[in-house]
Amino acid sequence: MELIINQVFSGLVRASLYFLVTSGLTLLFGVVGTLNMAHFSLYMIASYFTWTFHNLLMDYRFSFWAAFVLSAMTMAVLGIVIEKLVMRRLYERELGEQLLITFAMVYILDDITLVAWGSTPLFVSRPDILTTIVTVGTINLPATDIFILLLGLASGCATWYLLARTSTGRILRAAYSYKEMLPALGIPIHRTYMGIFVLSVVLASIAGSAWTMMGMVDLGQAHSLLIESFCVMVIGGMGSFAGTALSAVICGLTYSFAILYVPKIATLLIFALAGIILIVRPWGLLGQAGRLH
Amino acid sequence: MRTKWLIPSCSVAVLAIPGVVLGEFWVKVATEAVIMVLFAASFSLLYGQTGLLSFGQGAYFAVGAYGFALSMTSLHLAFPLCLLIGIVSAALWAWLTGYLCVRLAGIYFAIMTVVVAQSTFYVIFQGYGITGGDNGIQGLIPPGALQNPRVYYFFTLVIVGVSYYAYYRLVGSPFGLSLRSIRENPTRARFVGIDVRKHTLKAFVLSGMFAGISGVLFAPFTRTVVPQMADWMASGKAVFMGILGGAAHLLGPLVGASVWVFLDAFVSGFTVHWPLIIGLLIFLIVFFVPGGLTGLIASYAGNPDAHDERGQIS
Repeated sequence: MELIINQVFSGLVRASLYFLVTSGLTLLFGVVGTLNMAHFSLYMIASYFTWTFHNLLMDYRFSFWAAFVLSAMTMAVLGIVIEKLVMRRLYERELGEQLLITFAMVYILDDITLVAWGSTPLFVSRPDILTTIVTVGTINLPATDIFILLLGLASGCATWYLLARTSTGRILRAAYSYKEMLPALGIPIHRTYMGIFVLSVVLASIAGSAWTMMGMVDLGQAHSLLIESFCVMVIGGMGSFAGTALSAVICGLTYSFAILYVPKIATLLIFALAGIILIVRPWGLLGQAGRLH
Repeated sequence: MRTKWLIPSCSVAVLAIPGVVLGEFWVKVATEAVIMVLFAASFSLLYGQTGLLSFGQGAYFAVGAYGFALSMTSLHLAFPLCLLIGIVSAALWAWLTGYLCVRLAGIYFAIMTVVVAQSTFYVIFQGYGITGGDNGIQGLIPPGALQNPRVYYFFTLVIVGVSYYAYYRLVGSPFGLSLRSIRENPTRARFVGIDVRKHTLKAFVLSGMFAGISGVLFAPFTRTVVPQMADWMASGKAVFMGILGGAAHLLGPLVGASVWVFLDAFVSGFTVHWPLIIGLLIFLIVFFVPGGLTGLIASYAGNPDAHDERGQIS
């Protein structure tokens, strides 16, 4: 029983990371229709920024939390720059060109990261409060994991609130269902697009900062997560926010139980799941049929 | 009839020159370029001709290479037989996975191919007992005279030349025409009686076979195979080479792969920032030269068809 609870918990923590890194990607795809392959490079760069700010502010008590916020802000600025320079020119282009350009961006961003931070894996030391272990009954839960779980929940709820309850969210949902109508109603669509891109980058940044608590910051961290995250997006339904949350949980739990019983094929199971979904129900669990192709 | 043979024989003669005049390092680079031509062609057949963006060509490249490597080191078969087994296994794998992929279109097709390629990577990576996992397989030394880089260059030139001729015939055939009609408008293609799924599956298997041929040539060239041949970055290489040359043009793969490989070798001589340079180059190509390098040449040569040769999904 303890084992099962522990596995469920670690699965949910993994689901939280999946959700954080995928939700931005899926939002951008849903609203704008662009699949940003460089999303994961941005996620990686956010981890590096977290490390840098953490190091700069080493002497202060709240260095870690400050690094968290500062890297999100820096990434937002970087997001605006990338949007203005590149993404803006992509929205109206064909799918193939979008994938190519964002894939070229992976090359460029990875190389810049290599120049800026070098190839040695970096380590971010956690604040004391996160290194403790919380004991509930007979179950020990690391505080870091609880924090990551809460972070996933909080950003999920915040994004949901933004989408479902605010006027900005109404515009975004309108863009999701009928893009051509927005400019006709006098809504500056480019500003909407920029907003959604920056939001996706900030979500990637939160995921990147969260990762610094779970493992080493290195150049490979984006590549290992990229395909899994694509699978999460496909299973939930491309562009569906709630679907992404659901499939993140499914994939997280699948992974955490598979790693226990069939460790060799844990990742492969997620791929297989995505493959089955793609063939049986290409629009995903909670996506809308017929929205794309 | 005479002019028909003039161009192929001239190009073979031109391509044979590097094998004689270049130094050993550049002969090796040229060999890699020749091998990569087929890899790029395998992408172009799907994207340029059929309009399907495949991000998973690396899988068939790797299966070809591993098929060759395993039949050489584990089964100790004769060299030509190993080559054949590699090619057949790549085609079989393409047939099995293509059966699933061709049900999808657009972005879903692209993601499915990525998923297939990455699954192939994981199977190779985890199958320590057979594939050697991340150590790969070493010591794939070709027999006899082929160990000489110059001889190996001519060997690959012959095989790639024959395969490229097949690619050329394929593109020009009624089958190639139906592929282009599927690219332009799948619905109309269906109306005129083209079985879209059957045709795309055929194209998929043929493209997997081309990737497999380049894989089996690449394994004895580097004398090792590694699982990274199958991952999405490797597949991305085929995409980039195809786009660089111009995916829809017949000579696109040739130009794209040659420019890529020679540029890589040249740039790596003085800087480690090859990814940055190639990334920027792709930016330039996509934003300013949509038809790739061959499209650029064709537009300067005043070919009115140049604008139809954009390698795009419609």
